[in-house]
Amino acid sequence: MVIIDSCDVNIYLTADLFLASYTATGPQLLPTNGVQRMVELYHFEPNANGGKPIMALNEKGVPFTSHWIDLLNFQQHTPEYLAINPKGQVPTLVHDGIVITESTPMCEYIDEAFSGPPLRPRDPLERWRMRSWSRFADEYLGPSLSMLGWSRGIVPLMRKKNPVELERALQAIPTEERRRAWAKTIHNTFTEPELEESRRRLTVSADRLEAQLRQQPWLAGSTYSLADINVFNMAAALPHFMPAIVNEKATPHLLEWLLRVGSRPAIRAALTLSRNSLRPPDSAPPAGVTGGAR
Amino acid sequence: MLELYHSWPCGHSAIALIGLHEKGLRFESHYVELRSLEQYSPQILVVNPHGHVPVLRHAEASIAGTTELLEYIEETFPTPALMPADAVGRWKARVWGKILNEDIAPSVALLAWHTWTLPTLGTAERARLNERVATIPIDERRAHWQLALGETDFAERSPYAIYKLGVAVSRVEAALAQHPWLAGAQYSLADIYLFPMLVVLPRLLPQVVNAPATPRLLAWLEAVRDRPGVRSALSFKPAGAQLPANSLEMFVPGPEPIRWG
Repeated sequence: MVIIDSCDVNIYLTADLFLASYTATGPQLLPTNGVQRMVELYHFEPNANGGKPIMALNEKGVPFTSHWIDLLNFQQHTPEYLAINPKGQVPTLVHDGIVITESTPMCEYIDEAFSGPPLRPRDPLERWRMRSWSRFADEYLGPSLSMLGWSRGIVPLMRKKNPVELERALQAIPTEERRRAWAKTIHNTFTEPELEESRRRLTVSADRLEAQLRQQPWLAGSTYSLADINVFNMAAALPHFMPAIVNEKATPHLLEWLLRVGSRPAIRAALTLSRNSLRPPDSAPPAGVTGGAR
Repeated sequence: MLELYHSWPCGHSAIALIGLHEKGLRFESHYVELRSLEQYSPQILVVNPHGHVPVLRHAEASIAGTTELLEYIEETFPTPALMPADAVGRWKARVWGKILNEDIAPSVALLAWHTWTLPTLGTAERARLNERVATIPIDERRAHWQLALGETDFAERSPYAIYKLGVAVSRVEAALAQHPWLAGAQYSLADIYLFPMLVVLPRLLPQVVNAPATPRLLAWLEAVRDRPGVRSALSFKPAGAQLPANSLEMFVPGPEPIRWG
C-alpha cells in the first residue's frame, strides 16, 4: 500500500522524498576511496540528470569522489567549474583526467569503461528500446517535468534572493539556452499555456510508461538497464506532480516499477547523497509521504 | 531480411540510407512521400505509430529514431565497424547524436522548410496540404504542421535556430581541428549523423558556413561525400519516388525543438 499525499510539495524532482520511506537503513556511504581519485563526479541533488551517473556508477560498484555543485547558488557558472565543463551544466564525470559530459551518453560510457554488472541488454532490440526510452526521457518527459519543477520549486527559492545579485548571476551564464531557462525562472515568466502543455505531456508520458510496463518488467524488456535508470530519475517525481494521473489505481505497473527500481541498493545509496536543497527550508519532511511496504 | 521505410535521400532518411550503404547491406526500400503526408497513413502508422520515417523493419520489429536505428544497425551488423573502438570515441559519437537530435535537426528543418520548401508550395498545393494536415491523427504532429504552414512564429524562432546552428558549427570546426573525423581518427556514425544536415548549410546559412569561417567543415563535407557508401546512398532512387530537382533542399517540418531545459 502506497499513500502519496497530493499536497503541493515545493520541490523539484522528488525521488528522494518519494523513496525516503523505503530506505530501511541509515545512510549507506559510498565507498569513496581517498587514495584512488581516478573517478570524480560533479553533481547536484541525486535526481534528474544528476542522479543518472551516480546510480550507474553505484550499480557498477565504481568508487568515485563526489563534488557537490550548488546549482541554486550558481556554482556551475563559476570560472573554476567552467574550466571543467564550459557549458556550465551538471553532471560532469572526470575519468583519469578525461572530461565526460551529457548524462545519457555518459551513462553508456560508464557501462563501457568499467567492469561490473552490465547495464545494457545484450539483445540489440532491447538495446534499441533502452536508447529509445532514454531519448524519450531526454526530449519529452524530462523537459516537461523540469518546467513544472522549476516553476513550482525553484521560483520561490529565487524570490528569496537579492535581485541585483540574481541579475549578475544571469549575466555570467555561458550559454543562451541556460540563460533563457534561468531568466524565465528568476523573473517567473512561465505562461499558463506552456505549463498546461507540460502537464499534458506528463500525462502522455505516464500512459506510455504504464503501457510498456504492463507488458514487460523493465523498460527495455527482460533486463534492467540504463533505460530504467534514466527514466526513473524523471518519473520518480510523477506521483508528486501528477497525483491524479499517476497513482496505484491508474498506473499500478508504473508505480510498482518505481518502487522496484527505487528499492535497489545502488539507487538507495545514490539518494542518500541528497542535501534536501530543494526542500523549502522551513518545512518538515512531508508527512503525507508514507509507505507501508516496510 | 531488412526493410527500410524512408523518404528522399536527405535529412533523417539520408542518415539511415548512408548507414545501410556503408555496411553494404541489402534492403527492401519502401518509399514514403512526405509531402503528401504519407507518413501518417494507416499503412505507415502500423509500422511506426509515431508517424515518422526512417523506420527499419528487421526480425519482425520496427526500429525507429535515426540515431538509435544506426546504433541498432551497428550492433546487429558489426562489420565494417562504424563506431570508434574506444569508449571515449563512442561517447563522442553519441554526444554528436544528441547534438543532431536536439540542436541541429530541429533548427535545419525549421530554416530549410521556411527558406526552400514553403515558398515553392503553390496555392493549390498549400490548400491540399492544409486539408490533409487537419486529418493527421497524431495531435502533436498535427499541431506542428499547422504551425509550420501558418508561418506565424518563424520570425520569432529563426534567430534562435541560427544561434543553435552557429554553436554546433563551431563545435564541428573545433573537433575537426583535433582529428579528421568528428569522433576521432576513424570515420564513424557521428559523421553519418551530421553530414546530411550540415551539407545544406553552405546554401542555407552562407553567413555561418563558408570558406574563410569554416574551412575544416567544408573539407570534411567533401571527404564524407567522396565515400562510396555515401555516394550510392545519396544517388539512391527509390521506386515510386518523384524526387524533386534538388533533393538536398527538400525538407518538411522536422522534429520540434525541445521546449525547455
